[in-house]
Amino acid sequence: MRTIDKTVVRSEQSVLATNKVLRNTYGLLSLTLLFSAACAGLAAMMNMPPMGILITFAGYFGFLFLTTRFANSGLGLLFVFALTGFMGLTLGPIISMYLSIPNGSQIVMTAMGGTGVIFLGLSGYVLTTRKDFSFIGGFLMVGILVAFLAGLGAFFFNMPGLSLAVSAMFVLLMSGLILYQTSEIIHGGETNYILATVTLFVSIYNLFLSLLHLLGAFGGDD
Amino acid sequence: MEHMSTWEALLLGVLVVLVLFWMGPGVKVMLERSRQAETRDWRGFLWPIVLVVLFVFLLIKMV
Repeated sequence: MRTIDKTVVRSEQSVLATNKVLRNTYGLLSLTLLFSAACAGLAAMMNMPPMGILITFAGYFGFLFLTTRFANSGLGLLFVFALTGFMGLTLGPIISMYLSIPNGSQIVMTAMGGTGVIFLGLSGYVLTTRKDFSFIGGFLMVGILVAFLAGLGAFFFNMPGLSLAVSAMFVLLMSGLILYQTSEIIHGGETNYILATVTLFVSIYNLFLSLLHLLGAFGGDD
Repeated sequence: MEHMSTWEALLLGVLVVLVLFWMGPGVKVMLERSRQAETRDWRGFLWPIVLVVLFVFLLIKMV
């Protein structure tokens, strides 16, 4: 009897801990999205020039490294805001560029709305069905690495077709990553809300950029 | 491609290699965890992805 009681108590504790991670993740994700949007707006208002691939790359992976390194301490929160703020600053000039083309505002708003619908839809799907997608993690990581290298190849060798294919791949991979990460949170595979927030933020950011690229290329009267 | 000097291209290459080395162990752990997973509901994973693809086509038609 005592063993059953202990099991029930442990199970309740586990559910409470999972709910706490989920609540903290969505709370921090909301704050970082607002902060990043404010930084993007500031960069657009100030007409900041694009940072260039070297600074973008070093800043993004540098802050990502620091965030994961200090994810278990208070500094992790500081670095997650530094990372998302920096990503917002890099987004500002890109949005400004799209807004300067004829139907640019429609493209930006559609990409933003589309990203929101995809994120909410996929999160809602995992939260209601409670499916376990832990089997997909390896496949996603390899896919992201391949897409990342292909994206660099498209940049270096100036291949717009490959660049579009990479954006299409990223839409699929980031959608998969949202499914995977949400599933990991609710099944106890991810217990650190800072790392969960970073993964979801990066998914949303890449999803938005990829949609922007695809809508800019294929949208319009052509 | 934006104009890059040789040292910038080299530095970027070094950064890419460092990132790959940094991510390597994590990718190995995730691959191992994927292999050990008890349930593999591919249909449950692919359905929402197909819906995302259809939704993106709809967005492209809209703009």
